[in-house]
Amino acid sequence: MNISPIEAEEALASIQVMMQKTRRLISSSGAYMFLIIWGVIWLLGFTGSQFLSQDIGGYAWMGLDILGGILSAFVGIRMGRGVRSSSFTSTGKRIGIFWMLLFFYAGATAAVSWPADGKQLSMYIILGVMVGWLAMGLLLSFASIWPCLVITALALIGYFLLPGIFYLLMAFLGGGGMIALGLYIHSRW
Amino acid sequence: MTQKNDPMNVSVTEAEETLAAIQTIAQKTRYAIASGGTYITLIVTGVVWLVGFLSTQFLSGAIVASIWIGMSIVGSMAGILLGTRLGKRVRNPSFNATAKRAGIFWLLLVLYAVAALALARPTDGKQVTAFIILFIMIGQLAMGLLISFDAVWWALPITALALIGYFLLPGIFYLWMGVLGGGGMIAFGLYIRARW
Repeated sequence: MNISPIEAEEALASIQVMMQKTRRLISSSGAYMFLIIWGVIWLLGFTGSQFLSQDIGGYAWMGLDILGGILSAFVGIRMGRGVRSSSFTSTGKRIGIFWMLLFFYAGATAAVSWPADGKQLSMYIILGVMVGWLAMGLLLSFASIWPCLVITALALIGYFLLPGIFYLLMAFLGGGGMIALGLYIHSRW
Repeated sequence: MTQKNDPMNVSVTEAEETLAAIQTIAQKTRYAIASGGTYITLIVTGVVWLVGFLSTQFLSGAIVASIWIGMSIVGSMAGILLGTRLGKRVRNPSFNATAKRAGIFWLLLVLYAVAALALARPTDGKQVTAFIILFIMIGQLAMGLLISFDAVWWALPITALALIGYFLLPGIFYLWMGVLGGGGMIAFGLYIRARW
């Protein structure tokens, strides 16, 4: 498997073109649906956290997460039917493993900083999702990370400066932002 | 599956071919990167951790901070030297773009780690250390998306060691991280050098 510097350069040049094509593939395959699904879940979940009691808000999040998981699985299966290829499966698997590990790391971060209150836990989840978004930018397009940076900045502003309306801010700006990005990818990529 | 009328549209066959090519290229790039510098990064980071954590375990006061700063500077200089050497070997705009992208990612990850620390308001050095280790390992795993998880799986045992040390062996946490974390990285770096 040894390669010369010229071969390496050719390979790296091809990567960029392929990343662009993969981006198109993601848009046309329906992967943007994940953003819309989870955007709606954030919108409803954080609105619930803002206006409902802690217990009911917690149950609402649980129900929404289960619904999000089922819908994501449904979209994923439909996408898998659309493109049958071992390399697609492998790339998808790699992305899936990364998100699964990220979920574990977000949990570990919360465990290390325990005890944490509801807002802190929400922020760990938000930061975890945003780091995942950044990592996807490595794979696809760094242009797509701008909304992620804006959402992070808004989340931090909300957490530190506007704690009274933190959940509401995250519902509309975070959830709404994800829905908007999903629609943008669908129409522009 | 919807298709759009522009030059960047790809059919299912094209997409499959593209993704198959990505795998081959990723594999070749992985070997190029591994033979180029991964083992040195592991060994340098391992030495920094070994010396830094051992001094944190056994020394106290300003000397510990000085050792960490000194070791970090030495480690960074080694990284810069290595990067410059690799940059001379492969001159290509797309290589630069990929390297720049990875650099920006790490920079942003540092900011996210600082944000997480600001949220957690850690009460002791061990908590800060555990946070930093978790974020570094997340960064390594993200690099796996670019290269391959084969090149970064070592981040998982290091994370497991850090969490075991933090929760179960707090009294010897730094010693644990120095010998097993730092030593493990050095050993794995030497293994890559000898076997890949």
